[in-house]
Amino acid sequence: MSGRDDSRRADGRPLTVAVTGLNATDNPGPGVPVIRAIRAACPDCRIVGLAYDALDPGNYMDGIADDVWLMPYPSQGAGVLEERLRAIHATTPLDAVIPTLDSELPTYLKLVDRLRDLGIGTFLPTADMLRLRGKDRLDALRTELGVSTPRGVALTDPAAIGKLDEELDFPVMVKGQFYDAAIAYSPMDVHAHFERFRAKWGVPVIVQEFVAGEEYDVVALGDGEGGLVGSVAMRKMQLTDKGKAWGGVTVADRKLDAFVRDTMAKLRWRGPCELEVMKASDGSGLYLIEINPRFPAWVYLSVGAGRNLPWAAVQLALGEHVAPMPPAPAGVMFLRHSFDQICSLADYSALTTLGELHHAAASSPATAEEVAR
Amino acid sequence: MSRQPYDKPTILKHATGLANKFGRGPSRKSLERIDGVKVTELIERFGSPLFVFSEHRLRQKYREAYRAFSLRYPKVQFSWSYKTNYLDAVCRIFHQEGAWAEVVSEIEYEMARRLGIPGEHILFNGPYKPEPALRTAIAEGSKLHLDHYEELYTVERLAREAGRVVPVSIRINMDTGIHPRWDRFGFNLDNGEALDAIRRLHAGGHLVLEGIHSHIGTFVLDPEAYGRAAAKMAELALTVRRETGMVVKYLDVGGGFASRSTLHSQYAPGADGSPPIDDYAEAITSALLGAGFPQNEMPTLMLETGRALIDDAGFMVTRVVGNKRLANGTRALIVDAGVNVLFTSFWYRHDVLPVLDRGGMLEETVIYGPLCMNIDVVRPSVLLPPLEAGDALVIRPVGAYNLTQSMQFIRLRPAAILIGENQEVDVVRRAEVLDDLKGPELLPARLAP
Amino acid sequence: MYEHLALSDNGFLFDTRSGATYSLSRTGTFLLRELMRGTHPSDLAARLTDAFEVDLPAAARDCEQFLFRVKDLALLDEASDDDDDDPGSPRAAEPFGGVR
Ligand SMILES: Cc1ncc(COP(=O)(O)O)c(C=O)c1O
Repeated sequence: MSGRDDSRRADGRPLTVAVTGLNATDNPGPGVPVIRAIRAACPDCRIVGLAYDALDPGNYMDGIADDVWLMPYPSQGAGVLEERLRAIHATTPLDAVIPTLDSELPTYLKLVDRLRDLGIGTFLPTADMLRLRGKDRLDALRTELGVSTPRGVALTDPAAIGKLDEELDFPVMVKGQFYDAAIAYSPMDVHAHFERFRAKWGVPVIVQEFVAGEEYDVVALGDGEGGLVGSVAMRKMQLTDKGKAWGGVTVADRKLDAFVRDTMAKLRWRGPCELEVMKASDGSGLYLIEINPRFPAWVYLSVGAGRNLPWAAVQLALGEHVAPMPPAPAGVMFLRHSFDQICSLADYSALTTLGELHHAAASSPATAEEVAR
Repeated sequence: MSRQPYDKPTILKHATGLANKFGRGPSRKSLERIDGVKVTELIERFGSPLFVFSEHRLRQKYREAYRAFSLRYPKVQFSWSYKTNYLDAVCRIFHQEGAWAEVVSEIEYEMARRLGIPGEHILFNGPYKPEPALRTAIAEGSKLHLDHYEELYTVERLAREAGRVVPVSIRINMDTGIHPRWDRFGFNLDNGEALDAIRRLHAGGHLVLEGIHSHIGTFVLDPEAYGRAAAKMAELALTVRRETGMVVKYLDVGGGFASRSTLHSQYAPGADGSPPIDDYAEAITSALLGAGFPQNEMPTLMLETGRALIDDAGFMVTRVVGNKRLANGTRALIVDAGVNVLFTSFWYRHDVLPVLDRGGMLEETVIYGPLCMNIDVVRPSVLLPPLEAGDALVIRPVGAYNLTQSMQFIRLRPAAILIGENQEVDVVRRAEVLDDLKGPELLPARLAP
Repeated sequence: MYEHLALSDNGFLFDTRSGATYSLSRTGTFLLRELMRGTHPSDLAARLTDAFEVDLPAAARDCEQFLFRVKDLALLDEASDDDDDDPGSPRAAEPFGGVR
């Protein structure tokens, strides 16, 4: 890469990156690991944390965010978000923003052009890609793009359950359109799950052929033109009671790597994502089960594996070229842990009353008064 | 020492999981004027609550929608869906813009005729059209959309009696991948009923098929559902052409496009989540253009768009009657417009904007109407600054259905005004008086006071 | 009676006894501060009109409601006998050391 100092811009101001998702709770958002990854590559970058809650632990962790701003919920719409980002940008000029949560993506996508006009880079999937990854579209991925997914149907009407066995082999997975999944061995089971998921998440309810086998999680970064910038595949070693990874290890499997490369090419995916892949125990191959359109919370493993994907995403957001990375080595392991941090009530008070918290001095050129704060 | 600006003294306990407040910097929204006219002046002149319609927005929306379709497809005709809002002034604006009328009852039919719409420019929908109404419609050449077999038989008999061949259309329903599926109106396509009905009317010799109509739902957020509907309708039309030689002159895809309102169940505000009209236009017209109609037999594309044209143009102006603190600490406001005139509050999360924000802390607030009824909730929760009794609020968008579905429950209905393109303000429906409610009643002499 | 309340100038309140935290508007902060200084509730409205652009009737009405809220939130409840007056019991550990 070029010899210039990555952490400084031409005007001498530190490179400033905003990251969302500081909810480092027992079901963590990806913000803190994404920030740690950026810091690993760019110790002098200024990191602006965008938090949805004054109690997000990432707001208070040492060495994570230099500044924390409370953000309006995405449900308040793109206009309100834009206003807030502009206000932040006016005090702390941002070079890039990396949203990390599913629920905020549609709102950020609406702002991509305006952020670019402000000089704030992003590197995100397009709205069309987001639609494609909808659970009800997985079957279309198979039929239209040739991505290997289990056969499936999106049900809106329970009357169609009776005819499922003409299209699918049982057992099947029944999935709510946003969350929840359950296995069903008969149309009767499907009926029961359908009613439950419809009541909770609305329609459609997705029914997919069940693939028995090993599950792998892959974090990947696509260049949007069919190329894969890099990926790291992980096998979960330890789970939380919600089934999330609490420990895992990287794997190197040429078939899996090829599958990921091929899938990302067919999707022409742009930006980060997490692919959930099943290796069928009947030897029928690999299946894409789900796409999450953002970094996973275990993405710091990619740094351990020497494939710093969050930093690559920042570089792409800045419009820089990133050379494709070779497959990651196997055997890099992570275990998550939690610890109790002593926080300052004054910091909490600042966030709740002012909506902002500054751990670091203001970026250049700082006045004596600002430093005194 | 000079005095500081005042805001209401407020104390808020931080609840776990409470919506974030992000300090002092939230974007605070207020709305002082509608189309340049001060809301407080409107209240002074016309009272509160008050329905306010913007002529500018009505025309603008119509033109935008018309352009979206007519740029993509050669023959396009909108018909104003009367039930969405049948204020004469509103209907006239759409008619001036070139819309025909779409009616679903004999009184709506009469409304359209009184506004000068000729029969042949009226689409007559609905599951119940009384026989006298059918006779008039046939005599005046209106576009009859048959809903079920009984109606088909009746119209056939009337045609025979009149000794002529009457052009009709049929309403169909089908699976377009959305839920709920509106299969109670018209003939089902997927099970063959629609084609059967067409064969039947063709065989009778007194009716000829002129159009195919469907209306797949309302606030349909998926433009592709319309693409699927249009494709299926086109396929049916081509089948009819092949089988019977009847050339279908128009395909009517009904209404149902989402407005910028927000369903309670939607996460993002409707302004962000609702597809632009161009997306619907693209889905529908590309399905029709790709259907394989011969060049000289391209059917006219009819639309009965309702809420998407008018919702944004309607506002409810209301005033705060009182402040309240519920037993659980929640802040509540009572306003003078209730669900009897804001029926859509049950389904939609309307914007509620103060006309004047005097500062002070924003707080989640439940907004109650003035009815002495527990269900009278205008917004279960909305972030608002402190407000005083008498302060004005604007609720939007409420242009669609609220006025036509309003009722005099406990209170009479408010006036409606129209703000013209040059900010002229006209009353288009006066506030009701007691006689409007009691006028039709008759009191037997023995019960006289 | 108010020593268990730690109120910062930007309107953040920490009740050292209950652990609850609150946000107050500028005027709310002003009023609570007055109460903590010993201002009698009946004098609050006058203080408010001295400091802010509000007339006395409106101030009186708002103070009345504010006092009710404060009471409703049980902020001013007397401490139970046994936990008070122990000179050794630590109060808030400089809760707003870092906040102006
Ligand atoms: C037959 C018909 N056409 C058009 C409409 C207008 O629908 P929308 O207001 O959803 O556009 C309706 C409303 O229910 C209708 O029933």
